Amino acid sequence: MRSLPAVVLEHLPAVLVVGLALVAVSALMRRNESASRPHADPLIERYLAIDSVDLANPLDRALFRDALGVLPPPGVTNIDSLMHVLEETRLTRFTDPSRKTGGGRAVLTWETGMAIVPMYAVFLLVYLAVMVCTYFAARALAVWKFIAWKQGRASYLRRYLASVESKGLAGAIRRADLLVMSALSGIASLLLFAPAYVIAYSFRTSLDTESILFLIPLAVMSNGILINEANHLYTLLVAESRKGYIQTAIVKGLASSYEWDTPGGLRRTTLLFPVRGARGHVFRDIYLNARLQFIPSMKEHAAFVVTGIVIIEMALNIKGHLCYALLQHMLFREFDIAIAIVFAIFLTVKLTEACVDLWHSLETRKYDNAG
Amino acid sequence: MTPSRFDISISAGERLLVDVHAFPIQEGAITFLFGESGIGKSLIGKALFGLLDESEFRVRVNGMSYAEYRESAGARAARANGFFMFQEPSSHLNPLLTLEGQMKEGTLARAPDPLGAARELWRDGDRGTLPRILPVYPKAYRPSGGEKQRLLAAMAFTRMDIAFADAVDASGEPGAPGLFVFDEPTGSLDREARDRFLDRLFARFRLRHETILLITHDYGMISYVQSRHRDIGKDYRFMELFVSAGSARTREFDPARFLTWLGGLRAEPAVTAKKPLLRVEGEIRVFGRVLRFSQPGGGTGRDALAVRPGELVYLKAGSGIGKTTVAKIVIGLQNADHFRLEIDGVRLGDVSPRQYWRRHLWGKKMTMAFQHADESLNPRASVDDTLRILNMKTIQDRKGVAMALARLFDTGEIPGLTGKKVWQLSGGQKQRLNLLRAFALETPLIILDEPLSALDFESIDRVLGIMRDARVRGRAILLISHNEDIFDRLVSPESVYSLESADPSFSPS
Amino acid sequence: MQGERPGVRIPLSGLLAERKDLLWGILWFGGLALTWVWLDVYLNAPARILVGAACIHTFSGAVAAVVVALVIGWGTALFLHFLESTRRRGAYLAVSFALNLLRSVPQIVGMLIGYVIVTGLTLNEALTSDTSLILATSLVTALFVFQEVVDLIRERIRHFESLEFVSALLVCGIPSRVIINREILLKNSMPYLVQKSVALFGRAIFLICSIDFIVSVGLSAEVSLSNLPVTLGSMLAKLDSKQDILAIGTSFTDLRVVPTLFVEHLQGISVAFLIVYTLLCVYRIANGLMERYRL
Repeated sequence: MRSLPAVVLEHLPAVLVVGLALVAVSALMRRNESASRPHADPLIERYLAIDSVDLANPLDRALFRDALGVLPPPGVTNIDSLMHVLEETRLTRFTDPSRKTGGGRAVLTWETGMAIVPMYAVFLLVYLAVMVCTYFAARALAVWKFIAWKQGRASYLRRYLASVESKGLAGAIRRADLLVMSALSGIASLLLFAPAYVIAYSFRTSLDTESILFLIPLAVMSNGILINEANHLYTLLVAESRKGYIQTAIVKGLASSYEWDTPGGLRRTTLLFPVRGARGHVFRDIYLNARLQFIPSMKEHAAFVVTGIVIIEMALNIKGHLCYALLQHMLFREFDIAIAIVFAIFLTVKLTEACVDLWHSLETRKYDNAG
Repeated sequence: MTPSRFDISISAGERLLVDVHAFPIQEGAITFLFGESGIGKSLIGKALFGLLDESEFRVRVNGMSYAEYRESAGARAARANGFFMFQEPSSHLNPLLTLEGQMKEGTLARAPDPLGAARELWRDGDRGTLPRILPVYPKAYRPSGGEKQRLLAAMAFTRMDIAFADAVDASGEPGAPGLFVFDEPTGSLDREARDRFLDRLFARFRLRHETILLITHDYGMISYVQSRHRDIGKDYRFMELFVSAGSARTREFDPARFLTWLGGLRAEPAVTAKKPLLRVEGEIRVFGRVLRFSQPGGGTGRDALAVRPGELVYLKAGSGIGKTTVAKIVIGLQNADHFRLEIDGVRLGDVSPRQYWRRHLWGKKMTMAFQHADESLNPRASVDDTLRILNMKTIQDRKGVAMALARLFDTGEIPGLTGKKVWQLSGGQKQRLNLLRAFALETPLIILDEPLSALDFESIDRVLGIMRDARVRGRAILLISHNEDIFDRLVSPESVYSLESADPSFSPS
Repeated sequence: MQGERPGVRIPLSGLLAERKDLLWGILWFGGLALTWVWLDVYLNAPARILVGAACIHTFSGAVAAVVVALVIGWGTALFLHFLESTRRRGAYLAVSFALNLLRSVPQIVGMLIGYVIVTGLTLNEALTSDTSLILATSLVTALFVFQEVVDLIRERIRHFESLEFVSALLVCGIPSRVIINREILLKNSMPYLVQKSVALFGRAIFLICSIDFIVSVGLSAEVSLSNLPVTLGSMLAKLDSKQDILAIGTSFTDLRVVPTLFVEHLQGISVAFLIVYTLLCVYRIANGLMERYRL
């Protein structure tokens, strides 16, 4: 078994390789950019930079031409030709889309880099909150689904269809209840699968969709993240529950009923605390074995969570957020800043992978027989 | 559990898995249930114990729905006071709990000495291994299959002891009887460990007559039970499950039939004159152990295993020593730290390129039939495809396939068999097909790993016949088996080898 | 004993309850058909044609992405297996390392970079037709989902290698390529591959719609990056579609808006519904297959 530092350090080469590759790409792009851009004459640049002269104004232009006629720059013989170049350069700057946002493409400097840092900090905060909330919510959802399956509970819709023939007031109330629950469960299903932007735009008129307090629950619930994570754990629980050692535990007399709060059954707290809540019950063994296999999949979930947050920040055009900035820098072809942001996101995923590997390694060691 | 005869039907989806009528379970007696694998013996046991999952199976017992049966007083008592020892030891132990923890889990914790039964199942000289494995979390290869199986048996015995203590303590009414099901309890044990298991089981049974169902295809048990426990012969019975007209039926199995057949087996004369086709030198180092061959039956004292054309060589050893590992090394599927062998005059060893086996030996000079037919055959292939994939001239068409099948199958069952998928066959049919595939290749050397597992009595006889035919045609056979009752009689002592581990920390079952 | 006789004859309703993949497949097609009929009645022809084109582009793009992912995934898995079984450790580690790197790039970020490249190709007129653009974007999508196919195929091969199955066929002289491709993957892994393809189809739809939405929303600012074929995502990003979706929020406070959602705000609502409903149904189909085949 690998040592704990080795588990973490094995991610370093990937970070180095990607870092170097991105630096190389960035340098290459800068070179191409400067090669493709015509070099401006310093004299022209100087004249265009004079604040008191607006060359777009015909009067200013005429006065400036006269001034040049009186005091011609050294080495310039044809003033009209110089004025023509000035006008052409001015117009090119006016039509160049990359200069529309305030004169020239931004490049990665200490200042632009430091401008990313607070955005990255907010991104990390949101990411961590979403990861933690998703883990606990998915766990509770998976355990609830598994126990409902073991209880043999049919869906609300199926129970409603089965209750259609029930008579009397009590029957009618029951039917109405089941119908409402069916509708709510259908809406919940749609919400869980809806891409974040569909939900966000639906609520935009009534909520501040750019607030972090909206962003975090939205990222947890939407884009199929919660349902997929919960379903993965549920599948592992079902697979473990069918294994032989569970049958052995049952014949050894461990509690195996899945009814809530009955002798030999499960306490409702199991939904939130599956290990403590199921002491003396076969579900504890099922959960512990499933969880050990579930931990490594958190790496994939991390990438999905990042995808979800990126989608939300970009799709909702949340200004001042990292992923919106990434989109903007990409669109304005400020690739070296975009590359820096991509690298920061990549680092986040790699860091998560290292943490998950460490967690899994520590868990596996408990059952390793090495001691 | 009160009725002594059960009508049981089990189906999964649209497939009918078991439909058995008047299945007899005698209360307070031991019922040995024989029969080939895969015809529903385990399912019947689990159905009776109330273990089947209703989300997977539709079950009816004596006209009752499974829920009704499970909730009946008899079935509840059978579960509450009984135990089910499962067939696959590896998958029936929790990988996240130490073995000691598992020996003291649930009702087993009530036993005054939860490890006492385990100690009974280890030889006096080997008791040292038990304390070493108890703190271990079970892994695929540690402890060995035989050790895991004995621990599961020990759990069942502990549960029996608790039932006995409960009955003794009760002042008035005896406790409701439990059901103890042992599903292939000795599949991973050598003969000595198997006999120890049977002795401990009978010792407990003599103290308190529990209701016991012992499912097995090891017909060798009959001779041991008949020789050691005949005095309580009225308290145990041998039954056989068989398939007739697509439906499972039971019948009494007359032990005399098997004992007479066993008594009639004669050892074939050893082959000594010819040059060995395979010669394995007597020291193999693998997994940190040193494995050596010896000849307990008065051989020539040579320390190398040699197999000559036309010879049947029997390699035996305790559970977990490494018989199958040696077979895999010989056939080139596994490397070792050190080994030397010679096949048809070519010397090979641990530094030889693996490609040599692939290019020159597999399917040409040697082949192997593995122990688990379930795993060895492609479940989605048809019987026809399974044999035709070999590209043998004699098995190019349906007629060729039918002729090949006729060596191990009834002529009547062949027409319906060729188009069937492997997953639709019973365990015994799979094992016969598995063996047929190895013999069909006509390679000079055939390695057989537990060829009699999963077979019923008739099939065992047929398999021994096909082995005899192969030898007559000059094929060499290297055989690995736990079935010492049969092969010790069938193989000449000069051709019997014993595999031993030189690692002092390792002990066989 | 595994008899041929049916144990219980299952009626159609029971069959659909047991085969949830089939049930949800029917519900999906039924839902699409109903939506189309509704649009035919209430949505103006130009918008309806646009929604139809968006559907076709999205679904065909997703199918193409799945096909490409299967091809790349199958090839990569076999290549890795070849490197591993022939003990070319250096090459094996290098390929695994590259795959792990790719895995660590969040799909949407990777696709965004891919779209920048596709745009570059479009501006250079290397890609001109709708078909070539759909194929190019499918390739980009496939690059970020194909590893699931690699994982699946390698897991299947490992599973059979852990049994005696592969060894038993090898010692019969059957070549490895036949064992892996025919015996393991074609004969024993089809339900797994079908289920994975369905799940990838859903994932591809989600990614295509999301990336198109993001790019279209971002582009509504100043610069036009490229003219990609209309998909459900880019359709939803149109100003009138967004207005339609915003109306849902209004309906929470003003119930009188609710009936207008299905008539007046049909373009945005129907596109959003098609995306969400498809994702839900595809997930259920994949889950149904998993349950039915015990994958």
